[in-house]
Amino acid sequence: MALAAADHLAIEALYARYSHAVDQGDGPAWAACFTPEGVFSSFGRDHEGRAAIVALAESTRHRPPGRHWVSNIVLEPTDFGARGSAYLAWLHITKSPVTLPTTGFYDDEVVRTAEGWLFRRRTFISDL
Amino acid sequence: MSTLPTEDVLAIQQLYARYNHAIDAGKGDAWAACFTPDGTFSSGSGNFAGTEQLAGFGTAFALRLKARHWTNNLLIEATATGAAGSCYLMLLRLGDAERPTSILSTAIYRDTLTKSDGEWKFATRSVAGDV
Repeated sequence: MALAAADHLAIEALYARYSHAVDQGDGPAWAACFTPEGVFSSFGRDHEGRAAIVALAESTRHRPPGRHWVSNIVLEPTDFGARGSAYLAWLHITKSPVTLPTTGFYDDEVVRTAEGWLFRRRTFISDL
Repeated sequence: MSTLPTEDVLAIQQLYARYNHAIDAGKGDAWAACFTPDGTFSSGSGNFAGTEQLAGFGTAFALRLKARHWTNNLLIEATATGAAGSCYLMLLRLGDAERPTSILSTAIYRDTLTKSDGEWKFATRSVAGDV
């Protein structure tokens, strides 16, 4: 069983919106990819709720500029909405050669809301 | 944010892919055909407007650089005139005897698209390097 095509595309659009928001350091836009109580879990740490995600954007503002490249998005319908799995390559953007300090994958729980499809939980798992 | 019908989203995704194939293959005419007849392309390499200028740039590009355009994170939104699009670019310089393939640059495209005679095309396309 697969998601309806329109839902599949809407979730892919959410994935793209997420990368654009986080790379622009746009905390509110990043947080808006999550449900109000949504959880972003990264390197074993949970950031729960939109305010926590906005705060995370603020606290990571000083980090080197990067680009989140997301690929191999696999979406499956579940009783709560959809489970997503995708690869992430985090590119470190410099004038010298661009490097790939981090790769990993996302394990996502995506739910349909009045604001469209949003992450209820997004977990990043580093490959290393 | 308003969304486009599924068929339009898929057609636009195909336009983005066709564009990359055409520019890397040096197919200037096919690349220019991704734009409207009065379409514009703006990049660090200059500004180009209209099919003739675009085809010239598209043909010359592959002669000076063996490259592969990898794009990702495509955003598409419906607008009053068609659609607005944005995606990431990772430009690979293909390796040769002296050096391996490398990431030459990364950038973000910001685009406007229109649909005419059932076909989606770029009306304006600008690409801004990340550094």
